[in-house]
Amino acid sequence: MNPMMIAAGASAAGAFLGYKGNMASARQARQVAEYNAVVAENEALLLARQSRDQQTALRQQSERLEGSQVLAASASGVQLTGSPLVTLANTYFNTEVDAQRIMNAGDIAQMNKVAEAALTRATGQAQAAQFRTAAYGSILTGIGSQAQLGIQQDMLGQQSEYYRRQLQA
Amino acid sequence: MRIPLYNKTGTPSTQAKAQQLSPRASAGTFTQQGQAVAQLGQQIAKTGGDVADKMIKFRQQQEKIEFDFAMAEKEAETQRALDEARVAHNEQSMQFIQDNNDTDTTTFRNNFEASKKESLAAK
Repeated sequence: MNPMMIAAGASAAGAFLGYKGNMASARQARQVAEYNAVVAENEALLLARQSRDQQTALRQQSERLEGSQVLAASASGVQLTGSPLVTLANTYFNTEVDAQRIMNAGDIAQMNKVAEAALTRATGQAQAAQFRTAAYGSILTGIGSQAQLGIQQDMLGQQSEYYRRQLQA
Repeated sequence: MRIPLYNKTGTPSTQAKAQQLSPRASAGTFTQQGQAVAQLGQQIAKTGGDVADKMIKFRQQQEKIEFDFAMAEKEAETQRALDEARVAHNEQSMQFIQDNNDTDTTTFRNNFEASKKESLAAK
């Protein structure tokens, strides 16, 4: 069997598989990054919803507290002026402050998730580019092997010719 | 009756944290399959290249051995032909000397040279 045929077949198969494998890896890396980015974006939405729910819960609880405070003050027979009014105002303002804190924390968490999604996509693209480069490298390696074996084959041919001429001389 | 105060009633002040809520897909795991195919390709190319390389080297050695043998045979054949020619020449010279009736060296030398040329021309 001709060694050049073996080498050509093997290097072509190797280059083809290397190219296909690395391209598949590039595609998988991109898809995984996209999946993770979408997960992070979904988490950002969930965090926004969580922040909103927390604010709603806080306000509802504060309303209940205000009601209890008004009830307690009324039951004791005092007017809603002076200290009882300050207590009520304190509840109202503290509620707003806490609501703002929750909203702020929620915004930060959402921004983190958005940044995470962008970073994940960028990382995936970088990995995909790396695998694509490796895929092109596989083809070049195949061509290089082919050329090297071609040179060896030529040298073998020249050696045969030299022997033939020596014997004829 | 005491008026309940804010922050003493267990009012929530929790903050949303950017924790991971869902599992992430591992890029390494999902790219492994493609990498395995690429490695298989590399292995096939390497093995094929090695086999072809060994076959070429084997052929080179085979041709070298055949060439050396043919050259040795050629030299032996040349030597044999040379020996035969030498023996024939010696026999012819001896025969010439036996049959020769020349009485002086100059004539003998001239006749001997002529006989040698005639013999070489006949071959």
